[in-house]
Order: sequence, then structure tokens, then C-alpha cells
Amino acid sequence: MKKNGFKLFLTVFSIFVFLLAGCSSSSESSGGSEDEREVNILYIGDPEFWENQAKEFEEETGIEVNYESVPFGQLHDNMFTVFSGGSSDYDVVHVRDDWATEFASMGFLEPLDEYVTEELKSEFPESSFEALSHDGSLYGFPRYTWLWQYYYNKDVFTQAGIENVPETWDELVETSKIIQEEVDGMYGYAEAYGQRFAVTPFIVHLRAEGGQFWDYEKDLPKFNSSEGVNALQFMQDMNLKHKVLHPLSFEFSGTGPLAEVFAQGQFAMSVATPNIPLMSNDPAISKVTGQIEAALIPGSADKSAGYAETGGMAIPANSKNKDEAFEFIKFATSAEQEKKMALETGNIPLNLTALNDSEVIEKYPHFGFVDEQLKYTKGLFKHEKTTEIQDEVARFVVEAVNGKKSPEDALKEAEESVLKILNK
Amino acid sequence: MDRKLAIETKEVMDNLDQKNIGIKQKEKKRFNLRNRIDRLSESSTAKLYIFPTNAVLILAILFPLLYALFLSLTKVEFAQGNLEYTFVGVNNFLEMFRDPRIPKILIQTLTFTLISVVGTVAIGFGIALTIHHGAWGAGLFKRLFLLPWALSNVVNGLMWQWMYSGNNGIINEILSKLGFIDGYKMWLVEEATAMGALIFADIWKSTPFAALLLLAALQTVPKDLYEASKVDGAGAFTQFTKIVLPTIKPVILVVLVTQTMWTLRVFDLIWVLTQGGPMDSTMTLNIYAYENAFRSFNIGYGSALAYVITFITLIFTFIYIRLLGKEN
Repeated sequence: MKKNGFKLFLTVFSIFVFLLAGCSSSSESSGGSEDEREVNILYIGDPEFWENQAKEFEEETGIEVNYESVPFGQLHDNMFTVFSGGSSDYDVVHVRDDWATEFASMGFLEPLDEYVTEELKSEFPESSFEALSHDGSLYGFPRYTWLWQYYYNKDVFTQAGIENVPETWDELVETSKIIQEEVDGMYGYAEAYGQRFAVTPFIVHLRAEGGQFWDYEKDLPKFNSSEGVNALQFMQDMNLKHKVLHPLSFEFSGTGPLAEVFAQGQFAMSVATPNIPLMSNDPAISKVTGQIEAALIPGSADKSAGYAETGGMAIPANSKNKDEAFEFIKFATSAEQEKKMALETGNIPLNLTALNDSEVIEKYPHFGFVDEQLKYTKGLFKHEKTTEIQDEVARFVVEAVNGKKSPEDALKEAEESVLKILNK
Repeated sequence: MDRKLAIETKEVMDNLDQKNIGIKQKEKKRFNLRNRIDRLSESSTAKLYIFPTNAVLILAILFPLLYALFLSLTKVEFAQGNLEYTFVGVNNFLEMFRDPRIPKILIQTLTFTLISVVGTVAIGFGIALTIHHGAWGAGLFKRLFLLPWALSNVVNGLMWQWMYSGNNGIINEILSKLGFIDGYKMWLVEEATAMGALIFADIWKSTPFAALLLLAALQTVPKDLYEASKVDGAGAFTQFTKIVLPTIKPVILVVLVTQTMWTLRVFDLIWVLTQGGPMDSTMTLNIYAYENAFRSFNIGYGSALAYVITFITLIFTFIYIRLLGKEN
């Protein structure tokens, strides 16, 4: 036993050293040598288009692409973990209006002003760059807009004998009631009131009432107002008084799950993202193919009021391949690629050439309302503490819609909580 | 010329000798190390072999524990992509007393843990006894019952999400067909049912491991004791309370401690099914710690909450040891 001890020790020690060497070599290799150009992308994987586009870039440029996909719902928390750990593993990440502000304020993102030429800028709406800017610097390059629109099932409208699309929220409630009376088992309307998502429909209703969520000049919440109370009261009434809200609304953690049920033909109307036309027109999962139409989001104080996310790409500050990263961003946002994206994924492109392409408009008729809807639309709520503030307000919104709190109390308590977050 | 050649030859030979001496010294040194290792006692040799494992364990367990403790005593901010720490002492822990959400979250954490652990151990015991006494179908059950435990937590969570679905979940379908419910219920989004639904799913997942340990323990009870007690007139209940329970008490303690630790730490299942909702009705300390650290970026407060979970685990462990472990 003792004579073999040395050999055994050497074996165990070698394995240990080998394992440690394995750990260190993997981190060193991520840097890449001077000759090997590479770009590491952290993005969503569904639909496959995103990954296929990255492969196309690799074939065209010879720059090696390492693509890591994460479900959208986990992307924010995943990126924060990566950034806060000081990782330099990724060169291109997905951002939207609020995340760009949140991560840029912490120094996690590279300013893109030096990369973006005026010529490049001229191909996109100015507002899309504003959405992805923070403190006067650009931190994300626009890729698509995830525009909220009003969608309805025209066949259900016909069955219920409804001829006119509602133009106000009150009309929408009346329309819902008629549908529920006339069409057996059909709910009139649904919104996504999941634990952390309910703040988004609240902002839509708040804007419809002419209110604002935030006072950006004073950096203070502005939702606890008469418009806010009206908006929340309306949401509560839809649920408890008029009973036109599909009960599954509280199970929808986003517009994706909502669109899945819409595609099953369980409710007739919703104000939501392009997930609705995409899923409803997919014969593999939909029972309502070809029955969906879009119109302007109903108004209240104004003709309409909407909500849109600007989806873009950003380069992490710690990236070791920034030039390659921007090369990929330029490739992915070219008119040709944006058109492909629109045709294959249904995302509304921000490259103006692609947005106005006749083939794109022909395939997606609801794109025809984009221009008009955008006139009444504002971007996402942006703040350095966006996620924390939205999570907090969402809790109170759900309590009010369920009737556990009055809209006045819910908004007052939400405001107090938000002020505490701001240390004010 | 010959003399010069002779001098050069001598120099070369001298150099060679010196090199040989160097090699021999090195070899001697190496053999000394080798001999020293070979001469070690068995326990010292074992310690030497365990060293790499211990080093990894220290790096993987002790370092994060100490780092989390450090974080819990600081306020963490981000500037230019770097973390900046400000020492705040025990403020993060004191903050919990001011946080209005904590009492409800604490009660829910304890409710979830206690009901889940008691349910797991009770059902696990039932399964173990059934298999041990060879009831009908026990053989097949013995092969199948580990399946839930073998599933990954996320897969388990997604599976229950589909089963509980208020849209087309199988649980709604079965209960409505049997006439127990009128229409489909939103199990995960109604305050009255969300916590119960979570506990049920957790018990389903945890029971096999508890049953496995208890079954193994039951098989260690000497048969002589059963026979002797039977001769003395003991019935099945007396045998169970006077022979089985005292014999397997250490295993019950292990099951209780491990189940409590694991249940207090349950994250994936709750995150996938309810994310702490509706209206905080399934929010546990674990989810709240994650929410603070990774969504609200209050890493210091999140770490302090994580440490509270550790303290609670220690308290539970201490209570179990006091209650069950006196004799061991």
C-alpha cells in the first residue's frame, strides 16, 4: 500500500491539476487569438430565424458565431447575472428601452455613438434611437418594434351581429357584453395580468385616460393621479362589475400565453403585441386562422393611446470583440435582413426600407395600422430601477383588479413603495 | 599540442562529473520526497488524497458562503460596470424588521415548509411500509416510485403548470368529470388554492427520496425482534411503536433534516408555477431573496435574506436533533 502511495498521489494530483487547467483554459479560450475573429451572441432562440441569421452572418463574413439562446422571460435576470459577475463572455445581447437604461446606468453597456454613422441613422426612425438612449448616449441599436395593437376576431363579431369596431374603451365593454350574450362560451376580452406583467396593461389604460406613469423631469412617480384611479377603476370594473374579462387573464404572465389562448378562440378581443396575429394565423396551433383583424387601440381622453417596445441589440462594456459585434449588428439590421426578419417572424422592422416593403405589408395586413397607431404610441417606462418599480406597481394593480384594494388605496400604496425604492 | 588536448579532455571529464553529481543529487531529492510520501501513515496518506477534494469544496462552498456573508453586510452599487461595496453593518438584517412584506412571507415560508415536510414524511412512510410488507403491486410500485424524484425541478414545474392549467389542465378535466368542481379552476392564480397547489406538487416530487430512505431503514429492523415481541404478545401497533420507530429513529431524523433543508430552499418549482403570486400568496423567502438580488439589484438585502433562510434551517435542524436525537 505504502509503496504504491507515491504513484497514487501523483495520479490524484495530476487529475486535480488537469481539472484546474481545464477550467482556466476554457476561460482563456473565450478571448480568441488575433487571427480568429469571433462574436458571442446572447439572444432568444424562438423562432429559429434569429439563430439562422447568425449562421448566415458567419458564412458571409467568416467571423465565427457562438450563439446562446435563452427564453425571453429569463433574459433580463440572466444578463444581469452575467454583467454583475464581470463576464466578458458575450459581445451582442438583446435590449429593449427599459433594459438599455437600466444596464447602461450601471455601466454594463458600451456606448454606440462612435459606431453609428449619420448614414446608418437615416435608415431608421429617430424615435427608435431615442428609445435606446440613456443620458444622451446610444446604448442599443434598433431592430424591431413590438407594437401593441387592438386585435379582434371578425368571425365572432359577425356571429354576434356587431358591425362596428369599438373606438372607445366603454364601447369595448359594451361590445364584449353583446358577444358574451350572443356567442356561447365566448369571453369578450382578455388582458395579461400576471404577477409581474399587470403594470403594462395599466400603463396602456393610464395613457388612454390621458395620464402619465412617470414625471421624468422630477424623477418621481406620476401614476397616482385622477387619471390613474380612473384607469385602474376601469380595469377593476371590466373584471368584477362587467365581467367581460377572461378569467385566465390572471394566469397570463405576458402576451405570449395570452395569444396562445386567443388562438384557441376563447375570447374575441385583446390589446396586445404581435404575438396575437402570429399565433392566430399559424394553422399548426390556431383554431382561428384568417379570422383576426387589427384596428386602432380604443381611446378615452384621446382618440387612441398605445405602448411599444423597441427591441434592439447592445454590446456589453466588457466585450472583447466589439468591432465584430457591431459588424453583426449592421448585418442584422440591414434592409435585406430586416425584411427577412419581418417575413419570417412577423416582427415589425424598424429599418424604413424593410417596413415599407410591399411584400412585407402584403403578408401582414396589420402592419398597415402601424403608422397611425405609432402616432398615439409611447415607449416603455424607462428608469434605472425599471424592473423593481414595475414589479412593485404590478402587485398593487393585481390587488385592485381583483377587488382586494380600492384603486385609490392601491395607487397610494404603490406610490409610497416606489418612493421608498427611490429613497424619497 | 598533446598537453593542450590532455587539458581539454580533463576539463570535459570534470564537467561531466559535475553534471552527474547534479543529476544524482536531484534524484536523491526526488526519491526523498517519494520516500517521504511512501512512509506516511495510512491516515496521513488518506488526508493527502483528500486534499484536492477539500480544496475544491472550500473553493465551491466556503468561499461563496463567506462572500454572501460579506455581501449581506454591504450595500452593493454598480458604477462603470464595477461593483462598489459600502459597509452597512447589520442594516440589511434590520431592514427586514421594517419591510412590511416580511411577516407574510415568513409565515408562508414556514407554512409551505412544515406542511410539505410533514406530508412528504407521512406519505413516504406509508409508501415504505406498503413496499416493505409486500402489499399487492408493491414490486411494480418499487420500480416506478422513484420517477418523480428523478425529474429535474424545472421539468417537474412545467409538468405541474400544464396539469394545473386553467385552460386545458388535466386536473381540471378529471375533477370536473368526477363532479367535484363546476367549471375549470385557476389553481395557480387564485389566492385560496395557489399555496395548496404548490405544496402538493412539492410533496409529489420529494416523497420518493423520503420513502427510499425509510424503506432502507425498515429493512434493517431485525426480524428476531418481531418474532420475540410476537411471542411476548405484542400486536402490530405495539411492534410499530416499540420496535420499528425506535430502531429507525436516526433515519427519520435524517429524512426530516434533509427534507426541511430542501423544502426551505425550493425555488424552481415556485418560480415556474407562480413566481410568488398571486398577490404574494406564495412568496417565500427564497423567491423574495432572488427577486431582491437579481431583479431589484439589492444584492446586499438579497444576501441577508438568504442568510436568514440558513438560520431558519439551522433552527429546524437543532429542534429535530433535540426532539429525536437525544439517544443518538
